[in-house]
Amino acid sequence: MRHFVVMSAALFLLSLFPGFHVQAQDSDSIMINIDNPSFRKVVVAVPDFFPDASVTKPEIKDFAMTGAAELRRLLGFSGIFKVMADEAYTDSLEQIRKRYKTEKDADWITNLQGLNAADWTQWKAISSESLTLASIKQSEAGALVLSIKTYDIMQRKELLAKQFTASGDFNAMIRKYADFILQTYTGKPGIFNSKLAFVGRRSKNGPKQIFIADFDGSNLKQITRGSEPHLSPAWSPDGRYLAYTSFENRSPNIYVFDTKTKSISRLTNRMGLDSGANYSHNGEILAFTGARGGDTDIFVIDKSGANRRILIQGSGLDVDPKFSPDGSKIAFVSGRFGNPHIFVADLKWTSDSSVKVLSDRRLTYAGWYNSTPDWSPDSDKIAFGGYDKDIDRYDIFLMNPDGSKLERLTLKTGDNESPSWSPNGQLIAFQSNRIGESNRKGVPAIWVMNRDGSNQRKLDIDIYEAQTPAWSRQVADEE
Amino acid sequence: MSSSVDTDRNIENWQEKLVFRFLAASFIIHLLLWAAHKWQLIDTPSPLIQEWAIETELVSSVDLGASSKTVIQDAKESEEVTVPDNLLPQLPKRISVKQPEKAEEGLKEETVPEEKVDISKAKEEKEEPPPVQAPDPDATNKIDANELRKRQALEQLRKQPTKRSKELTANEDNMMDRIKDALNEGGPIASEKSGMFSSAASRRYQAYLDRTIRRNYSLPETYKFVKKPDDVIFALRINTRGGIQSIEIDQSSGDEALDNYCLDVVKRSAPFEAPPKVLAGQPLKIRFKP
Repeated sequence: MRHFVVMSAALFLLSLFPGFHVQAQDSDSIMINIDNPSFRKVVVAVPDFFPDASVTKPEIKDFAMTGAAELRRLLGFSGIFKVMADEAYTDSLEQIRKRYKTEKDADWITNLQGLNAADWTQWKAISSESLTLASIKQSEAGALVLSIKTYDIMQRKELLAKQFTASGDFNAMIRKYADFILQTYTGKPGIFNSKLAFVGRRSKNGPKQIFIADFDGSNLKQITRGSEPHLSPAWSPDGRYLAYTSFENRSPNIYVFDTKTKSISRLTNRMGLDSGANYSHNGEILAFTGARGGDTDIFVIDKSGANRRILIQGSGLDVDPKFSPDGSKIAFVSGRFGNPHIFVADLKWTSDSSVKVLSDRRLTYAGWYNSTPDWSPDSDKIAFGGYDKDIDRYDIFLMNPDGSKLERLTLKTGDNESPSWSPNGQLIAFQSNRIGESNRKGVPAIWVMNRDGSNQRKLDIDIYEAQTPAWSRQVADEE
Repeated sequence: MSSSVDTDRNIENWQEKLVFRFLAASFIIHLLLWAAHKWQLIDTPSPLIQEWAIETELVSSVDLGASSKTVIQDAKESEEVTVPDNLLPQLPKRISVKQPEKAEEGLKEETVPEEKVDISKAKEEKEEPPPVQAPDPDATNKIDANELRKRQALEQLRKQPTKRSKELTANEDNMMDRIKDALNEGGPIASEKSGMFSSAASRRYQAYLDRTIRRNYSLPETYKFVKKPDDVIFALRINTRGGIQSIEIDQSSGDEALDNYCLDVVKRSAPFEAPPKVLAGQPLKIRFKP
């Protein structure tokens, strides 16, 4: 009783005081919190390169303009930069030419120690945030020497300085330098030396073949031959191997193309269906869809083609396995509850090539039919194609790996399917059959958009139709 | 036996004492607190009237401007002219009413004298005028002197609440004037002591700043990729016209470029609306979260 009374008295007294403490803080100064920034593109200025007096070859002279134009195109393609029109900085550039370019010094760009304060201010005033300057000269052997620098105008400092020498493919230098710029600004690998693999047809009734092209659809190479269809290309994480499905020997099997040796090897050898291979994050094993009787399940196999074993089995269809880039999960499409929907399973790796499924769960509940999941390089998003029955169109959607935050990226632009992330996670390549910008359906082609769905553009690929793009994650060292 | 009873009693006494002391202490503390609030020895942390309440009051006063003003004027006039008791309306000896239960209403119609006009005007706000009924000579009743006195008393009683309500409207109106003045000056509302930061105008201005600056808050796409830097905090002073008097970095993010971007955001948002007096020239902290 005594304790009770004392306690209650103490509590009562205590309860009186907090009220007074609150007011004391009130006299601190006002704090206004601004969060959730919107993002805009970095405004870059890439003036034409300055040719040196030593340049005599016309193709090198032309490169002063074409090289700069190519760099502008690449930076614009990245979805991160906005390239200024060169009219905007004519005067400012003239000032730089007068102030810093000396005829005697051929390497004036290399020796340039930043701009003076007045120039910085002027470049900032025309709202540019990055300035790339380059000079070209001709070596005695007749090769092109490109000295190129990029300045951050906000920080008033040099970000990048490179010198390239080339006698053949000049644009390769530009691609390399554009990758450096991307890497400097984002901290992620560049995309301009990455490759796109896809299924395409040369003519309307021709067989489906596997093609490889550069990031923008240029430099097209056909990998497969023959009259049987080839499907579902998938890159190994190091970008060296390309797995695909082929019907060459009557039943679909998985083949692997080695970009280094240009050789093709057969991975699976069974009468039933084996298709839709996907490399694990370490490249040691592949997951694929295999049929046992009437039911399809998900199997894994070593990269050598040995040790075939089942990973996920369910009563219905289980297809399209996709390992997350961090290796912790696998996404797949399952029809165990009726219509196909996206599922995710947690993985437990006991060694580089042995993996177990811990648990799986369904991610998508909306939509009639969801398929072709693809993980972002950071494993923080899953893009997928879904069928919207109300408008009778397939569209690309984005969600978190737990199924939350579903976003629609395409709408009313024909059928859009098979998303594939760029290596830095800024762009998504996909297949669309829209005609122009309309909602009408035509022949499928490869399109690219920013990860927020903006800036959708068609890749210029010189074949009749192109489908199911696969963007290589890492850039393979070619040649 | 007896000793144990004694100890029981002792315990009871002791407990009773403790309870009494506790009650007394709590009574005194409550009294002190009440007194402190009564004479405003302690600041009240929040204004007596919530901001939303002020908004609605202002809106209603704007919408019904004319009518509420007339009520006020009447109320003031009638306050000055207090009617002495002996000038109260005199009732005639004979009153005809239709039915006994509606006697009072009948009475009121019959006896509307000139002096009562301004009071009944005020009343109109409160009460519906009774339906007009023609006196029926067949149903007249005689009312004796006692009944008459009762009615007089009733009449007086009825007037009293009317008076009170008029006083109330008058007070409320003063309150509204004070609030409006306070808002126009940007001064405090709840009390002189409650400080600049709880004033509604000040808070509304803060919300305005938040909106305006937020609208301009965009960062280069590259900040999506890099690891999030720390917050930047600026100390901003706004002059009386809404221009930037001074702005300096209070706490850097460690990323100079980001500091500059955020500084640009504030500069691009200026000039602001003219701040309330209490905020002009005062340091405001602006925190940017990348």
